[in-house]
Amino acid sequence: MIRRRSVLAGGGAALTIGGIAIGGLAEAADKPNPLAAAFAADGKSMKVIRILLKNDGKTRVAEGQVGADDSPYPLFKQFLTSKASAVAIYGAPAHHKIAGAKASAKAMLFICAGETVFKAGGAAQRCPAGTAILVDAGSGEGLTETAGPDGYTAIKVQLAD
Amino acid sequence: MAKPKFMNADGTAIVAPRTYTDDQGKTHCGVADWHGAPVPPGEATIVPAGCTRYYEGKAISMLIRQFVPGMKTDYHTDPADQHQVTFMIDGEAAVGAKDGTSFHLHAGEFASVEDDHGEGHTAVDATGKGFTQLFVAVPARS
Repeated sequence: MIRRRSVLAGGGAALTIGGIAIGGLAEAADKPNPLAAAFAADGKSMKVIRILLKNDGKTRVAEGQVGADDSPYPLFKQFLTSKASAVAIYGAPAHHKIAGAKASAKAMLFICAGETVFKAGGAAQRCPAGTAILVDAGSGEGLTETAGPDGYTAIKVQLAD
Repeated sequence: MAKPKFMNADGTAIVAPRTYTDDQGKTHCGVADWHGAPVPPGEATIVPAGCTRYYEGKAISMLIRQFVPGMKTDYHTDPADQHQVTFMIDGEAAVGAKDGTSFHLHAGEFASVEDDHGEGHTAVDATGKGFTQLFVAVPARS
């Protein structure tokens, strides 16, 4: 089982003499890795943001959760397994506004750096680095997206099933 | 936000470690540069308007995989005719080729696995705590 883990801030820079920590370098403690914050500690699920096409044709944004998929390798946990048709890595500039064009297919967006905010139906979801966003085919009406103050970089995968 | 660690010095390209196989079937580790460019108007793309594209192409499948602590592979190639565009979400992996070239992939970095044939590469959990990686399989020749 893999648990949510931390990255060691400061790398190997912590300095000790005779077991006594020296200066600020001693603050090189474990810091949470925000990229991994979506994964449950037991490794059985991960949080996602969903951009949903509702029955009324409107788009909504909501937080959700997905379970681990069956993996051909039982020792590994696996998530968001899907066939795909296209992939892109792109960057959005700071405060960039993206109008809600209708999604022609299901998609998965993973925020690698920076952050973005999706709004629809009076709700907003902030999506920092480490967020996976699942987009319904046909969604987009009433949806707005605004990149964070430093923009963001993402992997977008157009899904095929 | 500080400049992401995957960008080059002047912020114009994503720098991604890669594995690849040469014409003699020898596998090596190297570096891929995915240069940023605006998407021309009218072009069919999945990149939102006004954004900078670093990489775009056909895809076959995707998954996020959590590798168990201590995971270590022998030399292996990934599925024939597929490359893998990857992003390290958590942990650290050490990747090596038989020619002695290698790289460490840290959380927050991209990599490109392009040795779908040849000698292959090894992958080792570098911290002993496991690692989590996003994989997108793409056609080797698209």
